[in-house]
Amino acid sequence: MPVNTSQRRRLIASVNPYMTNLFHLRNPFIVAWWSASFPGFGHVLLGKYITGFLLMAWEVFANNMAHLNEGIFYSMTGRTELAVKVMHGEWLWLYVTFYVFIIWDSYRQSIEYNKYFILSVREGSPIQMKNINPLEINILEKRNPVYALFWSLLTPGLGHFYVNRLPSIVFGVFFWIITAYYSGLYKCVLYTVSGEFDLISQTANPQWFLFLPSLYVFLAYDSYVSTVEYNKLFDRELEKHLKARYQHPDFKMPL
Amino acid sequence: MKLNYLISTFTYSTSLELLLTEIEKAGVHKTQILAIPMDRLGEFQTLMDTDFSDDQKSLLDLAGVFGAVFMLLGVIYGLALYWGPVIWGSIGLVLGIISGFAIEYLYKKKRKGLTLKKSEKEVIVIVHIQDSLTESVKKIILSHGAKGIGTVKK
Repeated sequence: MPVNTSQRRRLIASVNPYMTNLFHLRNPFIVAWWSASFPGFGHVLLGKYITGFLLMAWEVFANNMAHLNEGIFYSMTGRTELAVKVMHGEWLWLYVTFYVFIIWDSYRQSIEYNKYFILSVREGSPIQMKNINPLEINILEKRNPVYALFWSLLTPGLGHFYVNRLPSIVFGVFFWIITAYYSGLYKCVLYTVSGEFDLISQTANPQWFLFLPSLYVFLAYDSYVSTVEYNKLFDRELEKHLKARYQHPDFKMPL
Repeated sequence: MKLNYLISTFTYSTSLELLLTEIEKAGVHKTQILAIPMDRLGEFQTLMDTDFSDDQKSLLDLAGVFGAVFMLLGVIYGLALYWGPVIWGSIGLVLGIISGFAIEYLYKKKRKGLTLKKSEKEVIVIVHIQDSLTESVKKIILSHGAKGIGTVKK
């Protein structure tokens, strides 16, 4: 009994050759918190990839124009006057309005998406499947979330290769390389390993370095959560198939 | 003709589907196969629960939050300290992940405790089959990762 998706109002997931996108329950506070740590992350978590990556690009651009990270660095290490001097007021104004809106918006959306998810499960949760086209392949498979975590922690972005999500691969790797390069991260890692601690403070660029922690942890977290949720989708899809094919009325039940 | 029942349990996987198609190829009609996917208890609980805060069932929510915050603090102060941002950032990351995970784990354990045991998602497969095929199908089932198998002979 094939599911006619057009008869249902709410799709629960779309599997296409480039990626899998799906609704699942999310904690709105966690989503809002990731938005606060790096505008755009919350929207990426919700599956709004284009919106999310635009916002991430905005965050890097506006933060750099306002020299916000530098300001945070100087303020928190007790050099308040220096902080005031490096920051640009007019860019800060623009930054703040966007910042607050993005947090609010991702919080609101995740509550709505949770309701949508519950309704679509009750409706029968149809899944749109298109696994292959001439350029790419993406299938539902069982994956181990620990592998996603491991690869992503090794080099951010690799975890998304494992879950097969093309937009996150491109943007994740891209953002990581840009921020790692300008912050001087890998040079600092080399200096740390060889014990040349004196050289670190000359090499590290605080403005860019402060992007790294949230980017690093987020990409790992996101690839982990995606693996778990894709596995659940796999179960859901298989369950529908088994019920449709292997529960025939002619089956003779044992007495 | 003697007919037997072969009853086996599986977790959701691709090899389960491979198995079912293989049994069909071996000459068992699909009306002789019954697959019963067990309800996902955890999910049922979630949908009945109007509190959405612990739905994701990922124990890494707080670990991610704390990991990022502590790593950021490590980087900020590391930039001003001798060891530099790499070491202090890594220390912050590890401490954050451990503390976040511990808090969430203890909280969930305390809250859910005995009421919700993590159930593994299972499928029960019953094959109604003639005696002559029983042994060969049993072999196929055992080679596809069955968790357990039982036979009822008539």
